[in-house]
Amino acid sequence: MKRFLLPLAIVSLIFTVSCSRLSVTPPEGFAELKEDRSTYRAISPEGMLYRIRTVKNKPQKDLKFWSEALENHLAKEGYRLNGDPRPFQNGSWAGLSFEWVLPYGNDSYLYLTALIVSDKTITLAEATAPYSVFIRYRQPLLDSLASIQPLR
Amino acid sequence: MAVVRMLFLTAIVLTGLTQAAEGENYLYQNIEATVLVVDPDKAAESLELWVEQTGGYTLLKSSDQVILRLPFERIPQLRATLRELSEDILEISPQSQDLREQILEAQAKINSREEVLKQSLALLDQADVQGTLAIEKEILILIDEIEQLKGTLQKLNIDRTFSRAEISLRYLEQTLPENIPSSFDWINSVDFYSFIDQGFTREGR
Repeated sequence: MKRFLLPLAIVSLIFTVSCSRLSVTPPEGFAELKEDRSTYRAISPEGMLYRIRTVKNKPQKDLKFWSEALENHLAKEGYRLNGDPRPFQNGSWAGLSFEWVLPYGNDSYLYLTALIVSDKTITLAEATAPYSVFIRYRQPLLDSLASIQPLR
Repeated sequence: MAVVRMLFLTAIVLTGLTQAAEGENYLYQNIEATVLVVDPDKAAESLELWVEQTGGYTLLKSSDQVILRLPFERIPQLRATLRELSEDILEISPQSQDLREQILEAQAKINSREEVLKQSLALLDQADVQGTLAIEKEILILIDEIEQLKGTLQKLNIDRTFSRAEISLRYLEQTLPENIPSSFDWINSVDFYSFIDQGFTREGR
């Protein structure tokens, strides 16, 4: 009996570790930089930034609540929404992304914010680039969002 | 009695001229507008589609500018369309020019040259060799001038039928967002400017 315990413990440990790390497929063409278990960063050759991080879901609320809170806040600050929010899904995880338009230097930038909310965590994805670069990577970015496995 | 008849005839002629002028447009209308749009390519597509539906056409279409020719009577609809598809109309400047004088001038020049051409052709039969050569040279010059004037007249007629609209599509947001604190801590950390300024450095975590 004892000889089965060690492999079982190892498998359980591997399973626990793999489940407790943020898992993301990088957008096509991006270079990724894996940092710690709760942060993910990637960058395109043009310098388009992509960052995913995790914050505590406190007070514990659902995706609808936090999406509205973020949308209202950014809109109040003067961010201009670019089209309707886009829902995305990865298995049982549902998320919502927003695109905002902002001036930076002499360019107009698109800034993406996306949320996935679990019981304990809020996974927040951000990406930005000048308009012409962003639209080129929009679909790979949306594909990557749909690949996110948040921390449990 | 003769005076009365003359007045009556003059009235008929004037009425006829007025009625003809009412149905036609002699104004060349040119609108320059700058609009703020969410998606310039999509806005350009929509404008192209719209102008084709009105019977007009697109002269130029790019991500930052669209130049349209549209039937003059559709100008009020253009304003409504721009309001509908843009976030904001930043600038709109309509200009118009009365083409009547230019059209009449071109027509008069064509008529006089055609008359001279007719006379030159009539003289051709009676002329000797030297005279024929001189008349032929004159005829060629006249034909060239008439063609050019007809081209000018055609352009003027197009200008009075189709107005021109130059629409600049701007994507750049005009105002910078303000930093307003949120009651939720993590929402305060969602900020485009700090995200982009930190770039790919480790402080940007």
